[in-house]
Amino acid sequence: MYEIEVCYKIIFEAMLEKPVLKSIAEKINEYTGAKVIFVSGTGKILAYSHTCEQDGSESIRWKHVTFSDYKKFCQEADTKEHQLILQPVETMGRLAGYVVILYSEEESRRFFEELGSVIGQAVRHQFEDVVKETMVLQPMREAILAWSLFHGKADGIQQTEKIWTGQCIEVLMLKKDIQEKNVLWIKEIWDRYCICEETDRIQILFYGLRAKNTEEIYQKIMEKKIGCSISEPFGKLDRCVTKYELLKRMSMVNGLENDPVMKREKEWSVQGLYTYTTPLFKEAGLSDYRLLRLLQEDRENNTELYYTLKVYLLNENNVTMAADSLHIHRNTLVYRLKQIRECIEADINDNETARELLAFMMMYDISRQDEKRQK
Amino acid sequence: MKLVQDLPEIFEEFGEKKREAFLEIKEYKDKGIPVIGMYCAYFPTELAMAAGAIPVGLCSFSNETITAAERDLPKSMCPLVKSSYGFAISDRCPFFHFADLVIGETTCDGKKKMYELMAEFKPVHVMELPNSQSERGLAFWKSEIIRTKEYLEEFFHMVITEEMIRDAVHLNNQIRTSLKNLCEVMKLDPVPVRGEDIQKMVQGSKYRFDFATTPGVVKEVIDKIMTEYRQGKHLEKRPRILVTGCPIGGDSLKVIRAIEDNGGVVVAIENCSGVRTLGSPVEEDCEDIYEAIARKYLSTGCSIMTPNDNRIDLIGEIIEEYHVDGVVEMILTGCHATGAESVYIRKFVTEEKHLPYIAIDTDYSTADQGQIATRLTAFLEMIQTETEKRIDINYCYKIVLTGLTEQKSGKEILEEIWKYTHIPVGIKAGEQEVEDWIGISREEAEQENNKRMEYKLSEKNGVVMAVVPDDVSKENVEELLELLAKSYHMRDNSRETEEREIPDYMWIMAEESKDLIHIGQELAKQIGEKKIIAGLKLRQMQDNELFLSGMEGKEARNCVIDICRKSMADVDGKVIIGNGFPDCEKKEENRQLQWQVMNIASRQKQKESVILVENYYHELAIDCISEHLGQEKVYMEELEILKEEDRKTGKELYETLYWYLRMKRNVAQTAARLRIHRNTLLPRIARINELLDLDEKDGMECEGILLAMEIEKLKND
Repeated sequence: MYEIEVCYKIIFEAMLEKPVLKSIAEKINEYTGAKVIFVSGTGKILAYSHTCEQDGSESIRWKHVTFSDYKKFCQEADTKEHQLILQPVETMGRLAGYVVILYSEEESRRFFEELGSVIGQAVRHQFEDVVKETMVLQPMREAILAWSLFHGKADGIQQTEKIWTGQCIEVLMLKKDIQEKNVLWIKEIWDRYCICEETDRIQILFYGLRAKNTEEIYQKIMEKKIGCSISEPFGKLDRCVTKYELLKRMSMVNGLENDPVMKREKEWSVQGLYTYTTPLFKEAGLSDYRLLRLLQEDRENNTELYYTLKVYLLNENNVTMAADSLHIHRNTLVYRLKQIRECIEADINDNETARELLAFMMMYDISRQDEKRQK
Repeated sequence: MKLVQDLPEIFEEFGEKKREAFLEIKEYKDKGIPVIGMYCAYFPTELAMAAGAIPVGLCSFSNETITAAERDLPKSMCPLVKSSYGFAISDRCPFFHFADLVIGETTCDGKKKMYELMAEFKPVHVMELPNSQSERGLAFWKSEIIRTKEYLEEFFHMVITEEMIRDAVHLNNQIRTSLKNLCEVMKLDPVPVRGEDIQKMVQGSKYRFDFATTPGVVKEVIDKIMTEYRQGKHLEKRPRILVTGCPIGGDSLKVIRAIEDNGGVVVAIENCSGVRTLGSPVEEDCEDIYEAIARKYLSTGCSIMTPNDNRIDLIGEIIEEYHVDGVVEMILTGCHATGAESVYIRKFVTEEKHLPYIAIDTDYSTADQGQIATRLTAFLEMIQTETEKRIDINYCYKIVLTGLTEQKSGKEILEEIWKYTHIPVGIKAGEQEVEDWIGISREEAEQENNKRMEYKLSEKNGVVMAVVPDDVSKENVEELLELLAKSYHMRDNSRETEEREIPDYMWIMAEESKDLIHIGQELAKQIGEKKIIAGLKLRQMQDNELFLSGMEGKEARNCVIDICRKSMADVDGKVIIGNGFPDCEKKEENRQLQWQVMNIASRQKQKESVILVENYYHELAIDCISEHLGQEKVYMEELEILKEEDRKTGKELYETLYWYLRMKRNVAQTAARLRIHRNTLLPRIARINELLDLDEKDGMECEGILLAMEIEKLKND
């Protein structure tokens, strides 16, 4: 039979070792054979006894409770393999997470209940740190749902939740770009949303949108001057993961010529994707003499030929449109193009050449943005 | 005046200018050009110039005429007024003699009474100067200027037009600017010439009546001074003094001479005979030119104004810009205004600027010359000892920077530092245990253990060292050592980057080794013949890989490409030539990149035998992105719509859009690529527009669509 006094001693000793939660989980497991898991209020698994890995549970693998596993916890179902104790941890006046104990001997239930309560008290401080970092206050179920959506564990959601008809828009915000310490304004944009909070960013999914609502969302976000990467509307829920990856890449792009506050997918996805090409420059030293020559000219004579060329190529070699984009007169553009042609000695109006040059320029600019930011 | 002389001669000539000028004046008088005499900096000389007259400053700096003046004026009056009056009544000032009209202002009491007396034997027009530099004062001064203008018009029977005034303003501004620039050469440290010489020029130029040419002449002198300065001609380091107070000229130059003969140098003179009036121009871009004139002239910071904030501001500016070490104020005996104001000046200089200040109360006689010299010598010595204790770290920066840009060796730079600071410095670099000292022997340095300071050269095990002399602070020496340590790294770095930068590296790879061997041989042969690739080095890394180093840029690469083309002209295989890269550490990745491009080229079944990396940027990007995306494609709503339509109607809108965007919306070329007729193409494009609103999309969006399609194509293959 296990004794609670021994556990006090174990817990105390465990707290002297870092990381504390992992240490407690292991030592208790050693003594009692039960599996201990610490879960935060957002569903993140903070620590667990290593024997949990033998179960092959998905939640353990991802270090986050998946939606399907959550349903099991909710029902506090005692399965064939083990019994379950779910001890809530409360700190700072709210629910900060759970201590989960999985044990096999039915008769020791009383002991494990008490143990759960003891551990719950002891780890309040650790959970406090986690709570402090959390910006988004939402029920655990919502948090786990959101997380599952964004990480491709959406199976089971579509069937149970019938509200997912209509269009979705995904938004990614880096925590460092958020000015206010709360996210209450999200409600004002659209009332149906899921939020997933990670260490350094927050993802939002607006769902149930009609075609006429979608533009409103963009407008409202622009008005509020919120710095984020935002996707175009899409219909299928299982797109969430790919959009998430794309938005992540888009958020890596900044410090370029005009830095808009809200980055829309249709304008920024190309640059976002091009961030994958940065190793070509950083590691493999890809370079092009002609364009480097052009940049050198710009530096020496204080001109903007490189940027002019880029805009010209982006405007499909259309002089009128390019001059418009650059806010200069047609003639000025023609003159500059002449200078550019002389400098790089290539036919910029040849389709193939233009394609290659533009690709290089886009890749190069993305790879250089780190240096620009440092300046 | 042709500048074939040396600077000392030029200065002398300007100094003598005043004496010769009276002959010139006579000439002008004979020609019928009127002469207007003036005493004060408040008078806008533009009026005289616009009236076609010569404005000339009347004599007021000699001791000899004072006795004559004391017949009528009290002895206690300021010598400047007495001297001026004395010149007038004893007819010893030639300019006074020839002047048709004298302009005076109600500045100080002495002057006011002097003009009254003078009016008895010469036409004098007195302008009423306000006592304050206020807006009301400005309005009043402007009206006085206009009144004077009207007086001149009547006196000389002519009309002063707006254009004439504006021309005069413009010319005067130019003259002022050129003289200001001349004064500004004294900002240099060490100074190029003596302050007295600059003063001679500034004063002398007022007696050059060919006004239009003055700016040009002054500029030539400035250029000459600067050229000689760059060649190393300058005074040694001396305490830099600002002289302020009453106007200085003639006999009162004794103060300036006393300073410069006893070890100091006068870098700036803040009074009406110096820079006071040169700094601010008349604003030419103004609707009311008279107001602009009034504003500029009223702002002169003479102590007869109350309050006189402009003078404090100007002194503050000069102290900062000219790196002044001390301030000497010259107060003429009897000048109550300057005398009373000196308490502010003293306070400002000592408490706000933390500089030494001394006031010299004197007149034009030579009696106190000895005393002045003694006092000033003591003053200068005090400054010198203080500044000596501080080594000017900025000057050390200059030494190091010039040394680096001129690629001097470390030892040479340390030598120069030692010469300037007299602090023994040494360096122990790298693994050598031997110390290298300048200014002190190794043994002595070892003995001076407790006075030694060291500074680590980071990343290498080396130190710069110095022995701290008794009169220098430790912080100073530490600053110096930090600077030397940094410069050591800069030299190291620039050496390293020089080794890397200009010779680029490049890979050449071939499908068949025999092709590569052939190319290698050709290149080796041509290296001897063609100059542009003379520095090229070849290394065979694998059977079918060649590594080049020492490539000098675009032209060299073009040359290599030509050679390769010729070599592969009759052969079937493929060869890929890379882009040059400057960083040797990226060698391996670059090689893999090049093979990647080779694979892409083979996939595309290109017929070219010489493949250049720059023709595959786009494909490389797509390849790279596609790899990272793994199984996923880029999902785009627009493309799904098109594909759906294609499924239903079989119109091939997807392909059409692809080629349309690739051909940059050129209908003819798109039709050619799709091998369809124009008339088949146009309705398709119309339908695409209907579905996707293509015309509204901007360049970046279209790039996005094209990118998605490229990735999809790649994944489907």
